[in-house]
Amino acid sequence: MNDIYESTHYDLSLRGILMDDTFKVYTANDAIQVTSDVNFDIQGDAKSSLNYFASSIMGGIAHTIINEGKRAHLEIEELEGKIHLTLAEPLTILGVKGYHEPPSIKTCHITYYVYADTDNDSLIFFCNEALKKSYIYHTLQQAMELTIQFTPLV
Amino acid sequence: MNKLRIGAVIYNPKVTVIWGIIAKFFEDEQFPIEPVYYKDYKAQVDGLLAGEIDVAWNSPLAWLDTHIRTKGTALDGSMRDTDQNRCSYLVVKNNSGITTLADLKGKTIGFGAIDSPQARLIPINHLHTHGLEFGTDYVEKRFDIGVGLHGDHVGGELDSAMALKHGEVDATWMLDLNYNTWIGDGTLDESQVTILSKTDHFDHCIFSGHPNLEKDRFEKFIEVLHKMDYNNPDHKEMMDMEGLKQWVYGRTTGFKQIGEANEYLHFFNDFHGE
Repeated sequence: MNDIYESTHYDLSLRGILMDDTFKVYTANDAIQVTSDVNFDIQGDAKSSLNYFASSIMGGIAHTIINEGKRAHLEIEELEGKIHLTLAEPLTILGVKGYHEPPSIKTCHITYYVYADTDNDSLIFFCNEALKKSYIYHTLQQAMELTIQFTPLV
Repeated sequence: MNKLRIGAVIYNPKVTVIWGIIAKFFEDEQFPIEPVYYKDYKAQVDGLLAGEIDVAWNSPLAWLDTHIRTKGTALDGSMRDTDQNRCSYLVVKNNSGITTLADLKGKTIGFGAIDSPQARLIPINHLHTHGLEFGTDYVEKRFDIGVGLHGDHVGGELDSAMALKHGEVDATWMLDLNYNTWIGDGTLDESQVTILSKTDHFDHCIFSGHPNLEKDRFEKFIEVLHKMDYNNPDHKEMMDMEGLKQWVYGRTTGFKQIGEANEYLHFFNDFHGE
């Protein structure tokens, strides 16, 4: 077995810069703009880091399932999902006097609705197996209460 | 000139959104303010007296606390129109056989949090003035949700209302506005409950100013506040979120009952250990 670093690791580096009130993070060919940490106004800023984070979790795992499907010659024909995060100690970050506990993301619950041309039991088994190939799933599982449920679309 | 520091008690992050909009309004009016947030009213009154803030958005009980601790020298500011002439309802089930306050002797009455003016303190005073003494004539069942918030959180009143529905209490207290909301949304069935008694009118929240705050500055704050116009679409959203159609000049006559309740229960002595 080789001991080459690149065979067991992949390094991802991004550069970011503050421009006015937006933090712009550059990828190779594009840029992602983060305009706040978290926004408690549901009609407010959509480009908060927590919105990106939630989108990244849900979108990342969805792509893992799609990619694993391709490898298994199983076409994921439909995939929808919803995600629910519970943010603990929000008043700490707002500077409310009397709150000192550090803020954290306590729980993350995701439900995917999925359709592919196979029986329901096989599809659910496949999706759960696919999670084994997800960076996000494995990492978050160690950091918070994370549950993912797959429901077949009929 | 430094920004006028305005204290507000926050239990939900969404409320800071409202204060952000209010701060923007004041900035646009060339009278910048700085909202300062507190976990509970005790901390806010402490902060006002310590000079951390210039003005506090006070509950009626926090107004009384401020009034007592400053020996009446704190400044009285504005209220929302909806803060004036509130009252609390004592609600029973239609089939309970309870038709007068005297029928509640020996019964269990549901209240909100220990420090709720509208769902405990003023109601206890009301019962006292009608011959029912606290601690002897009825059993108090209290629903202590959000202690320190002076009943701002509706949970205690709601839990008590649910206890009435489930037969765990014989009567329950609630603010008139909550009664109307819960009848409207079906939480309470109007055909199943009846209002046995109503307290006299009282007033709710009010801005209190530090005794040493320059009066001109406090009056300017009030003047700018009163520029909010419900007919202006830019202001309407903010005013809807704060639950008012108009800011009105404050008055302290509406705090008579909370003062009486404090004296009757020696509330601050027990609650703050003072």
